[in-house]
Formats: sequence, C-alpha cells, structure tokens
Amino acid sequence: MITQSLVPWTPGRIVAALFMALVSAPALLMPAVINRRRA
Amino acid sequence: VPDIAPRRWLYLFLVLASSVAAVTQMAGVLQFDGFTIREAVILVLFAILFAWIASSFWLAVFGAWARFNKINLLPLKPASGVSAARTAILMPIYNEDVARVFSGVRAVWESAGADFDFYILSDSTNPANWVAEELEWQKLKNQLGDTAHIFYRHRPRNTGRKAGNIQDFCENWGQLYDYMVILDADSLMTGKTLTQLVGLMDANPRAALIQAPAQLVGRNSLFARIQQFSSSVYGPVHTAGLAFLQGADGNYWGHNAIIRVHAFMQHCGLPRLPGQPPFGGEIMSHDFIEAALLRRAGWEVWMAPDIGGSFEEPPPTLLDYLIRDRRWCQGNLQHLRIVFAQGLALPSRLHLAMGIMSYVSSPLWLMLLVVSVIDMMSFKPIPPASYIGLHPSLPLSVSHAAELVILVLATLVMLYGPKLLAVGALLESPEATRAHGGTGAVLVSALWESLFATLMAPIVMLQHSWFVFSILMGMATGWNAQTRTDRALPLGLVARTFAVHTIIGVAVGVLLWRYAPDSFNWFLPLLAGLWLAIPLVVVSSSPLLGEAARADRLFLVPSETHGSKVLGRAHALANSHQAVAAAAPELVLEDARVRDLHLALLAETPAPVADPLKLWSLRERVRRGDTAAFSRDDWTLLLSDSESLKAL
Repeated sequence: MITQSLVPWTPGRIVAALFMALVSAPALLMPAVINRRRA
Repeated sequence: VPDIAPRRWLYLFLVLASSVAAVTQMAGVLQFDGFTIREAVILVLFAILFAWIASSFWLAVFGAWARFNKINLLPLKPASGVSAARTAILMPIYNEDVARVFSGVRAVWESAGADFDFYILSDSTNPANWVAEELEWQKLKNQLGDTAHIFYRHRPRNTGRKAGNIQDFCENWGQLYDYMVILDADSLMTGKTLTQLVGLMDANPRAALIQAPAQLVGRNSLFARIQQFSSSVYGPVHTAGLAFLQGADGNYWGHNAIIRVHAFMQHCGLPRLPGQPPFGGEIMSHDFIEAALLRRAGWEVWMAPDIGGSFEEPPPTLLDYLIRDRRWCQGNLQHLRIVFAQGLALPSRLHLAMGIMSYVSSPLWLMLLVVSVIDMMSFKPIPPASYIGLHPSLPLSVSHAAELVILVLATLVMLYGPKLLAVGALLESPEATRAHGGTGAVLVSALWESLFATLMAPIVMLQHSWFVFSILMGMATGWNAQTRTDRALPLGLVARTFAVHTIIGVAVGVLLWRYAPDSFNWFLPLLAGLWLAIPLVVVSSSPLLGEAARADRLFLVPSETHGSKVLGRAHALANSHQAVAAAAPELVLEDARVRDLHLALLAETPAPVADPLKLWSLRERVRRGDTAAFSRDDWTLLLSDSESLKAL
C-alpha cells in the first residue's frame, strides 16, 4: 500500500484562499470590461 | 454520463431556489418589528437547516423521477462472458459473534461457489473469540472440503482498525487478486450479485469500486423492523437520486462493495492525520476517504442501486443505533480536516460535507429551537394604541398567519415529501407492492413509520447534539464491537440513559406552558417524543412486538414475504449452530488438538514483543494451574507466544 498525502487544510489556508479569490476576481473580470470598452 | 452536468446544475438551482424562497418568507415574518440579533441568528440557522432538508427532498424528487422514467442508473458496459479474474471476499471481524460470522461466510460460499476465495480477517482482541474463530474455521474447512478456499488470519495487534486490517490483507495477498469484495460481520451477498459485480469490473476497466447498496434485513425487534421497512421503501428513491446525480463520482460505504485491488493499493494507503484524536491520528471513517482518493487518482467509483442481493442487518434497538452513531459521528466530524484537503474532486468534498452535516444539523436544529423559544418568551406584543404627538392612533393589525402556514407547510413537504414519493414509486410496481404485503399494508406501515420517526427525531437530535459537543470538546471514543443480536432492553438501563431527554422535554414543556402558552402546541410533536423517550425505546426494542407487527402484516419487506435464500441459509446455520465446547482460551492448554491448530496458525506470526519475565511468570502460573486470575491481556500474550505454548 502506498501512503497518500492528504494535506489537511488549516483555517488559515482556507481564509487565505478566500482572500486570494476576492483579490483575484476583479483582475480576472478586468479583461472583459476592457474589451467591452474597446468595442 | 454525458448529461450529468445539467442534472447537477438543476439540482443545485432547485435546492437554492426553494431555500431562498423559504428564507425570504421567514425574513418577512421576523422583520415586522425590526431585526434583533436573536432574529438574525434564527434566520441564519433556519437558512442552513432549510437548505439541508431541501437537499434531501430534491434528491428524492430526482430519484423518484429517475425511477418513474426508468432511467439507467448504472451506465456501465454490461458484463460479457465468463470472468477469468480472481476475486477475494474479505470479512474483517473484531470480537464478533463467532457463530454468526461463520454461518454468514458459509451461506455466501454456498451461494457463490468455489470461484471465490474467502478471507476471514480477524482483529479480535478477546482471546476466547480468537480461539473460537480458529476452531470454527477448522470445522468449516472440514465440512466444505478441499474445493473451498477459505482462509483465516488473526492479527496480533489491530493497528489501523478496519482500514489497517484490509491494508494488511492487501500487503500480504493483494497481489494475488484482481478484485476484492468487502463484507461486514453482519452483511451477506448472493453469488449472483457477486458474479455480476465481477463481470461489471471486467467490462469497465476504469471502474475501481462499485458499491452495492445493502438492504436492511433479518431482525425481529420492532425498532429494527421499522428500519428495515423504511430502508426498503424509501431507500430505492434515495439511492436512485444519488446514483442519478453522482455518476462516476460515487461514494464507498465501507462494505458490500467490489474494489479493484491494484487501484486500491496504489491510491488508498491512508495517512495518519497530524495531531491528537478526535481530529488527528488514524482516519476513523475510512470509506469516504478511500472513495475520494480513488476519484482524485482518476478512477471511477460507481453505485449499483438496482443490483440487489446485498444485505446487512440494522442495529436491534435505538440504543445500539445511537452507540454506532457515536462512532460514525466522530469519524464524520474528523472529515472536517479533510473536506478541504488538496486535490479532491468537488463531488467527493460534497460526500464528506454531507456526512458531516448529517450530524452537525442536530446541534444547529437544537440551537434554532432554543433561540426561538427564548425569542417567544421575551415577545412583547405591540401595545394596542400608540401616539403620534398627543393624538392616540390605532396601529394596523399585522398578521403573519399566512406566511407562517406557508412556511410550516413547506417544511412538512420537505420532510415528508420524500416518503410520499417513495411510497408512490413503490406502489407503481405491483410486484414490489406485493413484496411489501400489498397496498394497504404499505400505506398503514408508512403511516406508523412516519409517526415513529417523528417521535424519534427529537431524541436522536438531542443525542447527536451531545455527540457533536463532546467530540468537539475532545472526548474521543473507542471502537467497540457492535451488538448484533436482538434483545429486549431492560427498563433500568433505558431509564438511566434517556432520563436526561425526558427531563429536558418536561422542563421545556413547563417553560413554554408558563411563558409562551400560545406557542406550546407548535412544540408538542417535539416534546411528545422526549416525554415518551423511555417507553418508546423499551417498547421498540421488543422482538415480541416486532413479530406481532409482522403477524399483522406491518413493516413487511421482500426478504420476509418472499424469503431470501442466502439470508435464510445464514439464519438456519446460525440457529442450528453448536458452539465448539465452551470456547475458551484454556482449551489451547488442555486440548492437544486445539493447541496444534493454534500453533500451526501462529507459525507465520512474529513472536510478541514482551518482557521475557512476564512470559515466564505466566508459564509458571499455568504450571501451577493458576489461570483463573488471568486477565484478557495475559491470555492474549500467552496465546501469541508459540515458544511458551510449546514449552508447556
């Protein structure tokens, strides 16, 4: 049997992931807005 | 499954839409005099709990829809031809009733034939069980002859519990097999089902696991017969809903499933979680995690809702049911650590989250009730007259009766709708209806079952809340063998266990009656369950009442009306079973035949790591005939050491 890695997420990692999502969402949406303006 | 995504989106939409609608109604009721913090808490708890019951309601709707439309719920390639695969049937046991274990193995062997190899994987720590298992195994081998490949293995230490037991099998014999089927000590499968599962695995090389949902069967107590009935009538709609939505993202329920050994060996070695129990240490509920790991590695995990021929026995009483739930609760709460683990597929995370929620919903419900009761008791009616400046003005009377009735009706539909749908789906098939005793019997039984489930719900809720609380406070539990025999519970034991529930019920009743008499009736169904907890548990544990209900055609299931060959055979064998003398560890010392067998089986086990002085003192005590005071550990140590046994 090969022991699998299961990285249990800590509360800190979950908060960090949510924060990253929050920060990156505008950046991800930005190109669409820019494209619309150009059009 | 090509159209699985639209199914899932529709499901998500329906759950969310119905929850949003209910929460909006609730907010309308609560906000008429502005929101207080208490009301905001009520609204949040209500939202979570309503979404939870809505998710099982819509699951049942999807399941019933799939049943009515005869959707193929297992879209795998059908088996073709005779299989050349080698399959092992594993029965991991841990201090289980020896007669039942071996009767079950024999019944499955007789049904499945000699194509399968059987492994009885014992983790028993009780030396009397250990010796009895060896003798029973030898007896079974002698009775069945050389064609039967039935092996017995005892582990000196039950490292890793059941998951460790299976892992030990894989490491020692896994290479010899293509597939393994895991049985529980009280589960049975027919040869036909086993052969079908093997064929399906052959034809679908991407499938790593196929779960055959087990029907609950074989018990006589009223409690167990009600469980059997509800699983038989409501189960098919539930499993159809699950299969319809999960596709190849299925789950594993620990037994009655076939597994591709090499996939399991490559991807299901469980790590120890960092930290202390209950959240760290060995993974207790390993099955969900193993399914999630297989999915993470790209293997398919399926459920075969209609395969049949897969059985297990329910706990005989509510007390036993709750003892099992204590373990499952701890196992599922431990999944809080894993539900966000890296790399798992989203459906696997949902399986884990739903497992957690099935216990966490209880304390949430309890909190909702407590906050609501406090809110009602502190409710101040708006004075009939108020003043604008100096002029009295009558406020418009505000009634929320309509919204409240809608909310209550919606909740009742969510709770009882799945039962109605399932009964509808059952009655559509004349054959299934007959197997449950006919239309009248099904309807009357379903009514009684609903009443019983309603009364049980607050008892179970209180108990689950306590489990969750105690586990979060760090009180870990052991993993004891289950009671697997029918027994009428003694009143004293039940009264001690459920006195707290009764007292809480009476206290809340008095408080409500005194301070919020208008709301009293709303709480009556909940309070009634608590008031009646002790008599309910005692009465429902009675095998006599269970049999009386059967004579009245109540709670009939197909295995009772039509019989089931493998089940009947297992029961007949267990009933006619004659224990091998008073199986006790002393036999190894007294009976040369038993000792030879024990030593032969011990030959491949390494000697125990023990203090030589301790072993010497045990031997000396045996020589003096002073074994009466031997503890369990003394016996285990002595029986594990072949050198000592040979010396005696």
